[in-house]
Amino acid sequence: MADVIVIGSGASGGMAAYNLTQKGVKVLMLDAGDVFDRKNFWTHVLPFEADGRLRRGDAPPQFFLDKKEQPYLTPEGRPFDLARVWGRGGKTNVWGRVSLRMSDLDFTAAERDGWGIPWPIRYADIAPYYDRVEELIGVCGGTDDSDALPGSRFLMPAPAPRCGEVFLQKACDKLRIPIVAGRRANFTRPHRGFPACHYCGACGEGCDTASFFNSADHLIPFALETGNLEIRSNAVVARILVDDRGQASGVQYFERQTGAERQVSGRVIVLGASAMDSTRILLNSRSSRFPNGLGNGSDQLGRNFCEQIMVHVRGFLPQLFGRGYVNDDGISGEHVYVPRFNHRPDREKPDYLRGFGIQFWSTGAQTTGADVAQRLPGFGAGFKAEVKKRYPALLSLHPFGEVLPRPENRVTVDDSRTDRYGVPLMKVDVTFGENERKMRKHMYDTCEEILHTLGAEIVPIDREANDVPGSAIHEHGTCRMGKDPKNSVLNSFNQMHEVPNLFVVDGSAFTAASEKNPTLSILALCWRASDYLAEEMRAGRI
Amino acid sequence: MSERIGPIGRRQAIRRLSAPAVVSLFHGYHPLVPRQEGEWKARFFQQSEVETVARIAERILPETDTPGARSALVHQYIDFVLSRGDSADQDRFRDGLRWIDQTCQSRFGKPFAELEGGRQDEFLTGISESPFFREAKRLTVDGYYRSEAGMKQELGFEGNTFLSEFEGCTHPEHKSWSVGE
Repeated sequence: MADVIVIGSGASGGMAAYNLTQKGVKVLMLDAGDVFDRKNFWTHVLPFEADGRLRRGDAPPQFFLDKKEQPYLTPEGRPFDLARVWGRGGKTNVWGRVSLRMSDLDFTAAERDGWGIPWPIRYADIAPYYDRVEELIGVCGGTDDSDALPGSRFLMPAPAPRCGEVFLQKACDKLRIPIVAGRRANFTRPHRGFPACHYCGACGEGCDTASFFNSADHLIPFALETGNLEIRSNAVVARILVDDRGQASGVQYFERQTGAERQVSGRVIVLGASAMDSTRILLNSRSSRFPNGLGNGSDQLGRNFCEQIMVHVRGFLPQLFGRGYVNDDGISGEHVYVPRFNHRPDREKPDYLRGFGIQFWSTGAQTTGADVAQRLPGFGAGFKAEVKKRYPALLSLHPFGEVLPRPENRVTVDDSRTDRYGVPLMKVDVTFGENERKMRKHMYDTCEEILHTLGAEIVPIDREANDVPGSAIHEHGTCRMGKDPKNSVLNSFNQMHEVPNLFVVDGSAFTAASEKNPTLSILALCWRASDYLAEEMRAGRI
Repeated sequence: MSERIGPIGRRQAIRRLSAPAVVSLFHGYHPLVPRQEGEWKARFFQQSEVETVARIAERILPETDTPGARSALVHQYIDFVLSRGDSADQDRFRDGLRWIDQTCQSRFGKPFAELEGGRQDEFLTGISESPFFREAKRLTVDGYYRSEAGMKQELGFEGNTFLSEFEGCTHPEHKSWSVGE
């Protein structure tokens, strides 16, 4: 029997295994997929080289799970876009790498505005873990802290801004909108035996030199080295099993290749299958003691889904027209970031709750000109010339705004629809509300203001448009932590109120989403939770 | 004519007056289209539609001092994408092609592909807000700017390479620019 069964191998599962095995705990990791071999990554394959590669029998790894293999249900007219990576390292193989600490602006939001339940922790509780995580995973950035974006202690040097970003800095300075160096888990210096970033700009294909943090290269091998980790690949977890005392006793899973059912027992279960799949597993883990899902006496499991709403504004900067190709690849993604500023005393008080930050990926000359050409009118030789002229001049603004947790935005399971293993499918029912629509207006206004200040040519905006729910790939809230077991599922150490030997360590544990990308916080919370777990085990309380 | 957002260059004008390069629509493959045995064969389009699609794509992104959509074999890309699309998208595209040929036939006595270039541009300008044209343009743009002709020859892309440092903006005139100038 394993001391601890860790479900999932991404940011949270990888961190749990990394920390626990170093402390001498025997861990069995169940991973729904297999290893993605870095040798096969298509980091350096241009679109027009793809066919030749394919003909030689060389295919890129299929990171994203085919929805046909594991469907999910959505109500008519309410789409939800769920991206999943099943396999060693999970989504960290291809993640956006934006690494932003949450601050007390986030942790105290519910107390200040009365929406939702309070976080059970403060910045001071997690700050030491942010320090450790940043040191471990290698984050580049500046020393430009603020109340919305604290902590820059272990940051590697930020990459220089691209031309377009130099102009964005000037516009924001003029408008008194804060703009700081982007914080990203790309190595701008060699780190822990891995080479520095080589600035090819193709992080989204997976990094062939592992020069940005991913769980498969930067956590799991170190856990394996201890001799305390066993990994079972292609193990698709269906349910957590409980014993007569209501304690978690093991896991039921299905072999992905054969469909065979397996059970494995353990003293402690750490669930890190990513928010939506973890929630589905818990909702499907029903028993006479837990009739509506494991640890769900509060009826909060699956509810309070939250994330970020995204819109996109693009413009062309006349100052950069027609200057020809410039290599703007950098660390892929923006080198500058606008942290939340709507709370600042010199700003008009917003007519909505919470806030947004702005990212700028795809600014400058991109790999293909299609992104530019799709946004220009006309056709013919004149159109072709205009595309070429604007190709290096693209500015892309992508605000991310906090979506409030609401009980009706929820995940359930549908007994009448099952997957290939006979396990009920998840149903996702999420819509944005009035607060998001008001914030969206401020997001558009701010982007327009920045582009106007530069005299940029703004690509026509549809102000009613936003990405469909789920597009941020930052799912939270469905297994939230809180002080009160009556309105939350986990305590402040990600431990289930009702099942003390079960920990849920992925994004589902977040009480609220904030406007920030979550992986850094998932890693820090999981490190903290697994420290606590190891101590509880050592003391014999678990 | 199609130059709605900029004047035509002298070089392009001269090129346009000369005879278009004869490019086989079936020889070679667009780089994003899987190979078949022997020459390329349409997966979705009927033989009679291929020429029309290639002509439309070439009017959208014509040959200038760099190759156009036709020699970049963009019609093959469009065919491939549509062959994998859902039947509603397929029907819409096919209906659009049929409507174009019927309309050209009744208006000019010839199908679209046989019209002279300026006439084709005029016709496309008339339908430039239609869902069909927008879809044709979207696919043409995707296929062209992801081909070697579009990325390298037209736009001069030299990225996705190994750099030891990233210099960022090195232009004094950008750094000294101030808001309001």
